[in-house]
Amino acid sequence: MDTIKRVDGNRGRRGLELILSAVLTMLVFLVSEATAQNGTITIPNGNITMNITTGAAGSQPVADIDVTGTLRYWRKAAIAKVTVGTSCPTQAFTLKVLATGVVRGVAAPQVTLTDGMLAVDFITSIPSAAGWTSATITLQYTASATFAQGNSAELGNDVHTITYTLQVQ
Amino acid sequence: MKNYHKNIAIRFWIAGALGFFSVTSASGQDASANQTLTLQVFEANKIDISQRALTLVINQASLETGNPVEAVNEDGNLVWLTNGENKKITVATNNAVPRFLVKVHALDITGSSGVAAPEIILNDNTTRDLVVGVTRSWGKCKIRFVASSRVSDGVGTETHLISYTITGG
Amino acid sequence: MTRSLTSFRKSTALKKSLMPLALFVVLIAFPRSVNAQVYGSRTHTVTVNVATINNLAVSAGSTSLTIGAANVTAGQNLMGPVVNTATSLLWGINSSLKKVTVRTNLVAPKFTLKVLAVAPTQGTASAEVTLNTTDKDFLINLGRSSGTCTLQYTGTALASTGTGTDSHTLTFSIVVQ
Repeated sequence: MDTIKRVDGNRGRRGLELILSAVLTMLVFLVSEATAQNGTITIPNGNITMNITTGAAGSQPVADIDVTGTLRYWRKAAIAKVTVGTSCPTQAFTLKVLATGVVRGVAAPQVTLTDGMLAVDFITSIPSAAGWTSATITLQYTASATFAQGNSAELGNDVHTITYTLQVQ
Repeated sequence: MKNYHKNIAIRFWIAGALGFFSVTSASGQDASANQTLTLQVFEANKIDISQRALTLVINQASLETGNPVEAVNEDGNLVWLTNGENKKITVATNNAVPRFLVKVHALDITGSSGVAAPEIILNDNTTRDLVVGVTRSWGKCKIRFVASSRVSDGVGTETHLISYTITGG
Repeated sequence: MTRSLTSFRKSTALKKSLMPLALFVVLIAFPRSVNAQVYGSRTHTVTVNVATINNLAVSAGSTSLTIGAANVTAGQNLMGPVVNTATSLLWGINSSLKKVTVRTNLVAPKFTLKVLAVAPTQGTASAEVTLNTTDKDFLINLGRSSGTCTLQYTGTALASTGTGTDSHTLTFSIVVQ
């Protein structure tokens, strides 16, 4: 009976050890998360207005490039990425965006923002290793239009609601 | 309440300013382009004869005088154009010592495109005035040739190369 | 020292019941690392405004026509025509239904000058225009397009007018049709 008791006791202890291991692991994870960052992603400079005002006879209107916008993202415990998408129900003109000045991660090729698009990669391979807290990059927007596409007086402005998402890669 | 009215006023002026700007930019958008074109008209003189060759045949004699009867030709027309001033039309033969008598005269000059000189005897290769007072005009006249001979001239054939020239000014 | 089957089953059952509990603890401890792939999102607005743009240009600022002895016929008052197709007109219009008009600044030209739009890539060429100081339709039905056409100038003179030079400043304009 003693043997059985010891065997039973051993088995009970192993289960308890398993739970304790899980709890300890959880605690380690939470601590590492806390030491990595508290923020996720922000757009410090707010909304942007772009204007196409000139063109060339026999050619096309001159595109407008804006680099006043920035994006800030924080280090996470896992390798992360930023995606981008837009909503612009009455879109008539062309808008593209490119991440420039990327130090933490890899900038994807310039993205053409089209109403109803699925979110696509904007910055990938954002490292999770310690050594940095957050990074800020420049949002380079390029707005263009052809003469055939018309003008805002007749069609209205294109108003894009652009969403940037930080997520696990 | 004060803030409410102030906000209303601000919004009114903003709307007014935007509307003015919009109207101005819309109405001021018509474009124009200039090009300099120079149309230059130089002096131009041109003359032509409808009859490239003619033959005068003296083959009859007058019963009264016994002299050969003149041969006359009025089939040819001379046409000319000049936009110059104080031009004249001259005539000359290449036959320096003609055997038979040939006279030429301009008849029925159109409009006021010149004045006929007196009938010309082509007895040498001197250049003589046929039509004078030709200024900024285009004209047409009949060319009358009269060929005659004397009994003492005998028989034979002579060739004249007649040249008409619009010149002067 | 045989072990009863009941006690054996009890210890096995205890072990089995502890496993899901351990797994549950792990799951609630690592919610973000297992269930939540997104850390956060932000949006902002980008507004694109395209102004009404009308662009017009000529391929060369100046050109010329010459009438001389080579362009006349004896017995006719009319001198010429001489034709110039060396230059072209270019435009860019992003609004609906416009037209191009043309006029000259020369109030009393000595000679006659006409112009015609040849082979326009957009729009419809109007009939050949005898130039004076009044704006006349040159190219119509232009809307939201970028294009070119050849400028065909035709000059004539009358011998009775004499010689001289007309210097034109031609103005092409985009206006509402």
